[in-house]
Amino acid sequence: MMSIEEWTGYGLPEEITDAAIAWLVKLESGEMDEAQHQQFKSWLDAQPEHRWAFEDVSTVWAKSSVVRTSLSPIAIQTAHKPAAAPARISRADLYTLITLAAVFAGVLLGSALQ
Amino acid sequence: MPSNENNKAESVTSQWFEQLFTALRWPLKKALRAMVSVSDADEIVQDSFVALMEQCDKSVPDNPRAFVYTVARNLAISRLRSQGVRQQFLSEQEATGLELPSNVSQDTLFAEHQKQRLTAAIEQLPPVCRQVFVLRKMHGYSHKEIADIMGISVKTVENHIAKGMKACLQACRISSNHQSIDKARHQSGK
Repeated sequence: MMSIEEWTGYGLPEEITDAAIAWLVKLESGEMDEAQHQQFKSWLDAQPEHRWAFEDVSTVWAKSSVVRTSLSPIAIQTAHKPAAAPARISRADLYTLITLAAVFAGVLLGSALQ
Repeated sequence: MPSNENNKAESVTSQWFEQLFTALRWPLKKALRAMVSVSDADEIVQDSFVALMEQCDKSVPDNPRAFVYTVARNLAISRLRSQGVRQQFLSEQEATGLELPSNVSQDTLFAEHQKQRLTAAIEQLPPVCRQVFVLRKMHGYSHKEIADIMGISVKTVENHIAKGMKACLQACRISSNHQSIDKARHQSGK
């Protein structure tokens, strides 16, 4: 079956796509009140391009969760390490450690090759 | 046509229908013009309302505007396809070195290609942005949780998500191809 997805964003002005993204993020936050929901509905109906952009953005949003990216070790560490972990390592520290490890590995490799 | 049992649709198709047509006609045509020719845009507007009328015979859509908008977009896309813009895009794909095994349909190929682009787009995000995006999309953390984990504000989290989203959208777009197609069209037209 042909998908219409290949036409994502076609003919849609950038600022409308940006607005659609902003709405999607707001919806995603789960923090929208009734008034904002109403605002969102009126925005969707206000112009054909609004709905088109939002449909495209939602499709891509849904699709992007299917994608399996190789997670960076930083993301995994941070995500699974509770805040109360014994020795808290800041992100900056982690970067430093990883950089050091990489440099060290490079040195080892270099000396092994010589 | 049964007039009594279909009272709702009946009242819907008369002045209600005309009002809706009057309200949507121009904005719809204007939006369609960004995709197709003037004459195609006119036809698509007509066809979309015919589709709404047919739909109303069965049951009135909850949001008739939304119905018309969506039908119009789909009709415009079918036209673009039949006009061979798609073929042109696919031949550009071939030209860029993607091989087409005979047993794989072009749609499968397109889907696969799009997935690769999407993956690449996420992987190429700046580290913090990528991390926020991955925590949200792949791990399902809330904006607030991500803010706490990463020591940034919720507002910043949302900005990163929007940025990641935009990158994904760019990746799914074949806009560079669209532009070159548009250019080719303009050149051949002049």
